[in-house]
Amino acid sequence: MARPLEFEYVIECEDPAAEVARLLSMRPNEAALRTLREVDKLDWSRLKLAEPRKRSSTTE
Amino acid sequence: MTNEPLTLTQLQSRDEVSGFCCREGPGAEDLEDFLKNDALRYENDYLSRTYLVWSESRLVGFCTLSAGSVRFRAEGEKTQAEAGLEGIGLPMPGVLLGRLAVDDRFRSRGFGRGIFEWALGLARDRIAPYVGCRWLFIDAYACRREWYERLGCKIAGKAPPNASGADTIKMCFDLFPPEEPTLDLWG
Repeated sequence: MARPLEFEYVIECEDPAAEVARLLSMRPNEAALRTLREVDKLDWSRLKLAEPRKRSSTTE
Repeated sequence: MTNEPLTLTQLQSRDEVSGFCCREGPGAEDLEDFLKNDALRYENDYLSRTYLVWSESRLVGFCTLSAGSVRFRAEGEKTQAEAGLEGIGLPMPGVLLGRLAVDDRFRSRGFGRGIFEWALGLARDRIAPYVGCRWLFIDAYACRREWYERLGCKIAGKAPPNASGADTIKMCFDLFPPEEPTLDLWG
């Protein structure tokens, strides 16, 4: 069996409130801006996001 | 990403994934194992969604997404087991990129970056407008840290070793980074 998905992480830090505030106010770096610009160009009509499956189809 | 015509589908039981080959590097075989043996179970239990990227009939790669969160806990604060249902720390919501892998035969052609950008776009443009989530969280193998950093991901923090003992790190990408530092509402 593969490593299970971990839906929640617990991060230890000295001051949780300060750490959250820091993350919420952190400006993006150049790499992040570059990626976001690429995401802005995504053509969702071309990508055709897969339709969610109907419940019954999961047991096919 | 490459200019090859690609198709994106959600994993279904009839999908042929047995030919997917991901063996290069630490953790690679675990990614292959997950797709072949576990992803459909998570899918059927509505715990995750796995999306497959195809080039014609060849499976190029996949990613797995779920709702997720990070909790920031003060050092020495109660553990989850001690706190019970009251919970611990400050939770922050996001979309979890639990797995992302590209078949070895399609490596170094930009598919991984393309899949990452698609997942990021899905979280930011298709999920966040309806469900509050600020980050894309990434459960990454430590050996992939630089690759994710080149995309703009940051280390979310030091996480305790996971149950499996795998050498993984928790990273995050801010979906809505402020142009100016925001008012400190949490201090």
